[in-house]
Amino acid sequence: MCEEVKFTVRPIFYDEERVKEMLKKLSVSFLVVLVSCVFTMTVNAAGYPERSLQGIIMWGAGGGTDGVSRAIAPNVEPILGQQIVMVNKPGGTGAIATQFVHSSNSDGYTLLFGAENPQLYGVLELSKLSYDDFYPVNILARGQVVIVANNDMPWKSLKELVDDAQKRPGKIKMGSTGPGGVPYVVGKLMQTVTGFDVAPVPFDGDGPGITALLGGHVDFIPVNLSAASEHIRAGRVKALAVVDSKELNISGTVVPPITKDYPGFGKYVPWGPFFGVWCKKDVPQEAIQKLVDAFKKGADSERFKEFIASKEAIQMNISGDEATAFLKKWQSVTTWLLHDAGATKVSPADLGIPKP
Amino acid sequence: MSHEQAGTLRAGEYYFDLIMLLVSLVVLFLAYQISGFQLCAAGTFPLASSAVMVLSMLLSLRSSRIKRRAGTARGSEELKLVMESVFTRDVLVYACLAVLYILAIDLLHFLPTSFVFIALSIIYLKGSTPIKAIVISAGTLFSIYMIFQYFFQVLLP
Amino acid sequence: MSGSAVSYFFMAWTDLSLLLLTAGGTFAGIYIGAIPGLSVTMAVSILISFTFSWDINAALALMVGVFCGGVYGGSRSAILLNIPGAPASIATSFDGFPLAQRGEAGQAIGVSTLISGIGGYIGIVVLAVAAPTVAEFALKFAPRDYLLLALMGLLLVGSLSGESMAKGVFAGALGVTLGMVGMDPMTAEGRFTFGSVALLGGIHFVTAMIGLFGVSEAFFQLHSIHLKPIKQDVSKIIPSWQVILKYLPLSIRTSIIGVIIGALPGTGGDIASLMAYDHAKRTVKNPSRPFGEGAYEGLIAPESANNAAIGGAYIPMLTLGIPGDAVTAVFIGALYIHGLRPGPMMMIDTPHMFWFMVGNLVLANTFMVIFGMTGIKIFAKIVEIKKGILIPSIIVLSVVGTYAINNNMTDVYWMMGFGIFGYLMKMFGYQVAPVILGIILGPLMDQSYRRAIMSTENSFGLFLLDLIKNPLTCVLTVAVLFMIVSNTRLWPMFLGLFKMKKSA
Repeated sequence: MCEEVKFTVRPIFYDEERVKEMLKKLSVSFLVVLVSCVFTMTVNAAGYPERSLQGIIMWGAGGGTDGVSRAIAPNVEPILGQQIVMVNKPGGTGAIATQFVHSSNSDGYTLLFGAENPQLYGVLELSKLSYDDFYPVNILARGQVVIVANNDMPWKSLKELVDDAQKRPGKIKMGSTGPGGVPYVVGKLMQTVTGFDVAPVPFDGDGPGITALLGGHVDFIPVNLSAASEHIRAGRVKALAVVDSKELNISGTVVPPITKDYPGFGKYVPWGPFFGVWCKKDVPQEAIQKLVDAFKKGADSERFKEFIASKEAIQMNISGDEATAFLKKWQSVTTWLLHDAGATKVSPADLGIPKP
Repeated sequence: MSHEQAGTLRAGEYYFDLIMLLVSLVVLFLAYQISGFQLCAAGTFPLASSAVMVLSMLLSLRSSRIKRRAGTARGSEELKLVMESVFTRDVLVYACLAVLYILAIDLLHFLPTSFVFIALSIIYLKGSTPIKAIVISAGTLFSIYMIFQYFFQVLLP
Repeated sequence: MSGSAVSYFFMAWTDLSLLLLTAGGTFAGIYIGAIPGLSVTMAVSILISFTFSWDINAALALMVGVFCGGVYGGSRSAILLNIPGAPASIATSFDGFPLAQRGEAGQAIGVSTLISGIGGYIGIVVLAVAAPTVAEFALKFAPRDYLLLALMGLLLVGSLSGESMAKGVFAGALGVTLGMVGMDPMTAEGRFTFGSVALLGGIHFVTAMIGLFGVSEAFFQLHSIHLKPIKQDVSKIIPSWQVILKYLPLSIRTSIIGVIIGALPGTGGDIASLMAYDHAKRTVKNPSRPFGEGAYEGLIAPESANNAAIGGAYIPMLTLGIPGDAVTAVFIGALYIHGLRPGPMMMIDTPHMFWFMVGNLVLANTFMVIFGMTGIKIFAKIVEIKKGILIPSIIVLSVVGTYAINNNMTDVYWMMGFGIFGYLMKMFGYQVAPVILGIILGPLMDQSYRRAIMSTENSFGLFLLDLIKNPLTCVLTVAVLFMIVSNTRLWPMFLGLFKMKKSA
């Protein structure tokens, strides 16, 4: 693998030599730049990692994935002994970043920092890739989802909301996102289990969605707990249920599980988004092992644990087969759920995704 | 604005407008294919904006036609005028150089291609003597490298 | 403000290390802002990792400095090279660059620095005095209101069209269409993507901005390559009190526009400065020169608004934990990493953080004015560099800047395409500014429109009713209608066309 690196670099260097001969008067400063550039790529060929890594974040600056990725990287850097240069490459719900990392060199220097989205690319026809094409270095955390309602709404529980929706179909406004987003998927889940009929209004994500809820432009929204917890705590919105089989306690406010009135949710929960780090599948085994160890240790640090807790997420810190099993299960549950709700373009069966 | 009718037609302007009209019609067709004619769908806005493109271009063409009647250069004479005013040798050569440059970045590396590009440009545009051109090119690239890659860790292409 | 609040307000002023960090951040920010493609959002994200092990106050001091400096810095390259360093300075280039071409780059930078400072202070005062009120007001904006706001912004096409209204409208519509390219975020359908993954992400408007402004201008300058560059008069840089007082009313009005647009969670400094420019163009009857030819009013309006938008963007962040723009979204991430929980409880649980940040903003804004006043003479000399050297440097910088947005070569190809197309547009009597306007506002309009329709049970009739039913929306609707009608240029144009047809 070290040879490969050298081969890709040398021709450039020789090319420059030719340029130098031709032009005779290459400035000293330019050479310094060039040499230092080549240096960082080839010197100290013994042992991975010998130069800084590149972390590709599949969502833009300021989002949930960006936050988790930028919080884990500084915890891992001292363990790896190298910097991880974090770069946002948003677009196509992460399909562009996924494609980019997949077409980069298999040397373990390019990591994909992402969320759950690639598991749905197949059924939504966004890309042929999924996490099957990558090695899960670490699945850092998963988020919890709560269903929150505007304080002006009369409902005190999820059941009252569903009953109200049944009484006036299509009148209640539900905050949502584009296909694949957390509010979208949970909305479809609720539709499948309770059969209610509400009007979804898609926003750009959890944040804009909860903003619309606060302003009264939608009546309720299923969102990531991290986006809603502070508003629940301040009493500005009310939490009707958590998408889990266990209740949730937010500073004394008890949120009942979604299965309380509707046991039908049982086979789907707990459901939520997740965040993690991936590298290409054919990265050399020793490099993968180093990455796995470093991220395991970094995710175990107090600082990162505190961060995950403040985001109201649940730490996972799993890798390898355990992570692959988790990813497979998530994909199977979610794609079939969307398929049954009529929201997929390609059947999961055609992609070889087994039924849950 | 107020001097809409004032001023004469530029050489080639009429044909550029015609090309834009054709482009707009193609875009309108593509926009229609997104989701047909619906009040609220992914294709609604593309359809509306491309329709505005077609309409505004028709309006513009109408006023150009009126100006054309006033008598402007035609045929080979107009072509000659366009070459003199729009596609001058400098512009054609330089645009080709710039396009070649960005295509070369992908094949080679950013630093060598940019170095050659700046040096060649300065020599062609007679900005300076060849030797100075090389020094300036190296200096510019050195500062770009320092600012982007070193301080801000921004990747260079 | 209680005693401890005062002490927190002045904390960054009295602690030497915080003072130096703020100063350093502001200084760096000005240069980050001035380089197209290096965005404040990006710089602040990088700083999160950089300041990971620091104390939170120190980390914030540095980031706030970069934010203030960066928003201001964009005006430098807009005035000197006609390449807006950041989207918030697009409107600055409309009159700033003509000023530089008249040899008044020094004065233009001087005025814009002081006015940016004034705008910044107004934004901070509103933040300190009325944050909760403004935040609640901002929440009231429904999707239909965003649609109307975007429509107001788009009406600016009318005043940016140059010689032909029809061509201006064409350019604006072209921009809106270009803004639609990529995956539709509401349905995940590809629009004009031809099945390519590279196009799924759409065309970033900074790509179009760098191409249409920077590269097309570079090609355009080839025509005057052998002319001697204009000598810049740098003797009077600091504007007199008289000048400042004369423009103060306009600056205050546009600052208020900036604060409100900045405080709205869906809009930031870019839209604020465009609307401020439009406001100036509509309300100033006798500008120092015609707009677009170097009117100081056209420089003051956007520069006040984009700096006032900083204070505005802080309002929802500090009171509700909702970002007011892209940069404050990253700030919220930084607060989490440092163990704070931004949200409605932050003002109650940790009120001192609020006052620390307000005090820090005032300090950063002050440094911005001080540093902004330095180096103008050297900067103004950039315009005097021989074009044979300047043009290739602009192209290389445009390539690096474009690549830096998404680290994507496809963007660079688009940028060059825009550069060549922009050159042709300029040569055949089209204006490039409406294209950018369309790309920025198109997606906002498209999504707001569809959200508004979906909120009214997919009924167009109910949607129209909504436009007059709600008081806030009604005011905006009336404003849009008034702007269309008062845009009297429309009538002579149509009448003129009509007459021509008859006589022909």
